[in-house]
Amino acid sequence: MTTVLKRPRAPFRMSRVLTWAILGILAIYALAPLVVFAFNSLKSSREIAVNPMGIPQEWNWSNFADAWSQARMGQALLNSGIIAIFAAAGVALIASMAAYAMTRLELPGKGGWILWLLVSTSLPIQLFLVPLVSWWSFLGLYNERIGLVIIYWAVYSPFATLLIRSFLISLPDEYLEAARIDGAGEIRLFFRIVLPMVWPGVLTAALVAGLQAYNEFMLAVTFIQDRDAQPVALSLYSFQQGFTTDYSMVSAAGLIMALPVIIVFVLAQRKFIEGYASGGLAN
Amino acid sequence: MTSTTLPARRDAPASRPRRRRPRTKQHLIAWAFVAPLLVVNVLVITGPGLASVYYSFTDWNGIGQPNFIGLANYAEMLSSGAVLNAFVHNIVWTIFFLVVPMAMGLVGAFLLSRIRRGQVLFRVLFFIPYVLATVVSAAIWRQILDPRGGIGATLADLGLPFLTDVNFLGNPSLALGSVAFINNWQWWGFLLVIFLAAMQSVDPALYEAARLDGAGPVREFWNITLPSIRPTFVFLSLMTVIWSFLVFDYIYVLTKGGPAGSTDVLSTLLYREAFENQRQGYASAVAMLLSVISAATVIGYFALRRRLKWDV
Amino acid sequence: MNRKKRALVLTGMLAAAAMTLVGCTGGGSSSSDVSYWGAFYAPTTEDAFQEIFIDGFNGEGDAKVDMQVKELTTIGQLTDTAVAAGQAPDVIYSNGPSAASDLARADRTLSLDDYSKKYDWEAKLLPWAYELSKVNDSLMSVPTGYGSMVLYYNKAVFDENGWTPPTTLAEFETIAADAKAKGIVPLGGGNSGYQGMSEWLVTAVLNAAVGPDKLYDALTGKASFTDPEFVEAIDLIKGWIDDGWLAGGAESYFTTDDTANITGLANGSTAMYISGTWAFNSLSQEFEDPDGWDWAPLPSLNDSVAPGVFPLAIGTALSVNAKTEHADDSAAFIDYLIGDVDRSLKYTARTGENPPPLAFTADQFPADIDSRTARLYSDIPATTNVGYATWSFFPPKTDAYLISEFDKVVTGDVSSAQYLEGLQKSFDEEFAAGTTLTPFAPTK
Repeated sequence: MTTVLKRPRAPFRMSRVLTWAILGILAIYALAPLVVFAFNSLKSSREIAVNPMGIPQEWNWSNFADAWSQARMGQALLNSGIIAIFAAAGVALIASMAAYAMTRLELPGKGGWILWLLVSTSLPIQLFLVPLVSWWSFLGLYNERIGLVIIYWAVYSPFATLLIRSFLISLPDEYLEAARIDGAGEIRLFFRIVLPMVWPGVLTAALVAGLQAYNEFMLAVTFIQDRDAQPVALSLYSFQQGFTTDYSMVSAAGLIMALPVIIVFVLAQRKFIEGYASGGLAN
Repeated sequence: MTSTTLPARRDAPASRPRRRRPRTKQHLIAWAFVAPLLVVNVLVITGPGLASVYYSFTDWNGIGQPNFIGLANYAEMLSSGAVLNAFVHNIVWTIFFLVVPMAMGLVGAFLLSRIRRGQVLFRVLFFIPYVLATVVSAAIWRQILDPRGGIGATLADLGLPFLTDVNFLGNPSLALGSVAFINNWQWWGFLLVIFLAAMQSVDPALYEAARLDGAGPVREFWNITLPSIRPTFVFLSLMTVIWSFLVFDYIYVLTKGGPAGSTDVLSTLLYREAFENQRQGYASAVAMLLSVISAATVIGYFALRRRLKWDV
Repeated sequence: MNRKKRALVLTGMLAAAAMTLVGCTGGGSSSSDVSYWGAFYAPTTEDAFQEIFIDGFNGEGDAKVDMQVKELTTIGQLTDTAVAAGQAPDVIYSNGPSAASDLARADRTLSLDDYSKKYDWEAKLLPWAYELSKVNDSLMSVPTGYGSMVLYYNKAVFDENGWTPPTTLAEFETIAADAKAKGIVPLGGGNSGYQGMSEWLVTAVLNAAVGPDKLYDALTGKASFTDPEFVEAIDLIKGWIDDGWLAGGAESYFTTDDTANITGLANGSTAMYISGTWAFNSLSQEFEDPDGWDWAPLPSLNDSVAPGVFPLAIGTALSVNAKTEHADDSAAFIDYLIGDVDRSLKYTARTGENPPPLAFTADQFPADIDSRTARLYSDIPATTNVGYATWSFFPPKTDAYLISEFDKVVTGDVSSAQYLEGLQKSFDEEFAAGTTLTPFAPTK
């Protein structure tokens, strides 16, 4: 990198080569373990024990069908999809509203809010399970998917709020003021002007919250007791042989579980770059 | 620091014109916007959190009646070698995560933001590890680091026997680093995506201007990209510190704090005390320590912000 | 405009509250069925349990049981949380009388004395198990499975090398040295995946090297865990680790899990493995030839202890939730699980699961039972050389210490004496608090 610094004018090709080299190394770092993952999903658990990294000697495509039926993944995926979507949408809304209030509205005690949010992210939720379960059963939310979703809203919105806040804060004020002078109400301002301008941030926050909800285990196992309502993350823990994990099944189920998310990400990721332009700030 | 290179900000709060609406109404609207967050947070986190403050002064075992025992839990905690050991590991973890994944995420995002072709492919690729559930990525790496047939044996087969018989997760002096490395594999892509999203909001005109001045990519990065995404960068650094003190998943799934406490951190210690040793009261005291650490971090950040005159 | 706006904000605000009302079915205990959470070793075990016990019970009378299946690794914590929050099922699963006694002391479970009289449990259950399930002289849980620790080996590997199952320390050491020389791991072990595996090993060695008599004295406060016999026993394990006999050394101890040991046994890379009788099932699955493995009683690891000691263990104990509205039906279900020897043995024959601690004789075994299971449950009642599994007879905190601090013995961070000193300290506290269980007296 320093060589580039010394010759700031010439290095166009040099920097291009470097760019691709670094990206290539990072890509191998990300990809190689995924290949091992894909291989393992095709091995028998007996083979994983003796051949943990190599190409499968026998390609057990039936692993996917076995994992699917053994852990009842069809219903579980559906449950997880619903839970993740509601969690993501709720968190995005709650967090962007709060972030807007914290940056652009006259909310008293701004530093205090940040302190509160950050300290509340640092509390280990494991410790609250007992009071929460009793409180949630009192409210009729125990053993209900919506009850779990509300917990996810609470747990994932502090980070989302602060993330969206960090996007909002670098927005110029003039656009909002101009809209206010035009007589736009705060609600309209929020949905029409603010949200589109920080759309990459909101989308990222929603994606992160949805993903965390999708993969979350401890709260799900504690708050959903009916098997038919359980999310797919619990399936991964059902591949136990007594005291140990059946890694071939976990890999196969993990792959099935990751695919929908990867597809969603591929489809939605264009939106991440559109944000700036659609906010009306490109020119 | 880099704040001097920051482009002039147009939104200094002091210059904000007064709005037309009356003050009380302004406040009401503001409160209405934070109300949903406030409600769910108090219900799920702050409320039970306050209950934990009470439990931290008791000998509650999780199922029976709690008895008030004053500061005994705190006295025990502050003189405990196990807590100190865990705390040191949290510090090591924090430093690792402030440096390695942050650097990888920033550099990766910056390079990606500069290319057109292949950007989508790389972005998806880098993000996939983050999509996987902890158990799954832990399972992958457990196989890779397997002392008998994993990476060491594979490299030995290729004539590179330098990792043979290295037991990454079983050797107490390697275990913490190995778990951090595994966690990093899953984590840095997440930082990259957030940095990339932030970089999308940088005004392209700034780059144009820099290029006209003859700036190379490194100078562009230091003088434009980094200052422009500073709110996001500072925020993620802050979150990294706080999360590093909360880290639980990977350590629990891979080593449960072992071998012999060599990967024990405050949250695995807390979990063990609460659920295996049935000392919810003591665990609550440890939770208070976590809160104090994060509060101190945030307050330290406020002080820093004031000194550097950031408006972040 | 303003009013409309505020209404909109309010709608958003109240979204959470409104959704609260969407589902109001409440917790699991409000229905008319007896609720039960079970956890199983394998899906086939679950199917057999459902068919024999749940469907069987539901088909017999008016009372019905509704079972939700959990994982073995999470059911303990899940139950604790649910119990504390008042949302536990009617019949509560614990992984032994020790865990069940915690619930009993917190007044979370009912005394079963009346049901014991009604169903004659005292006569049906083996006396040691019945005594162990009492808290303050009252029956608080019912054991539904008992087993022991044994030494597993691969028959073909033993034949090939001319080994026979060891009965003394000297024989054990000869085989171990021979195995090591041939590049075979002499003794499987490890604690990856489940830290509690450490206490399987400690249980086996304490019983076989210190002996049941001395253990009984320590458990009743008449001897100390810091006595030289105990130090010698832990030193023995430490020696195996340093020699690379156990799991191939300290580092791999931490990265070897139960399955790896069993597959090692199956593919001949491990010579012997000391584990519980719950492993019968996995062994038959992992061995290409399900008859390729066998078990032997533990060898004596000290001249003062007779060979073939069986440390007794209870892996599952059921209690009745103090908040239940179906106490009678819950007790009826528990009786359905243990009240009939033939039914219990039918389940054992089909799944390889440990049967309840009932008095039964060899002629009661079903014809299709695995001969190794039949031999185990004929041998144990026939011997007086029985000992104490740490997870069934040690008080909870002492047991937790025994597991978590054992790591440091393996790495060499603490000496055997220091380790046992801490163990005794923890035991003293619990003994003084009166939270220890009543062990049976050794029979001479």
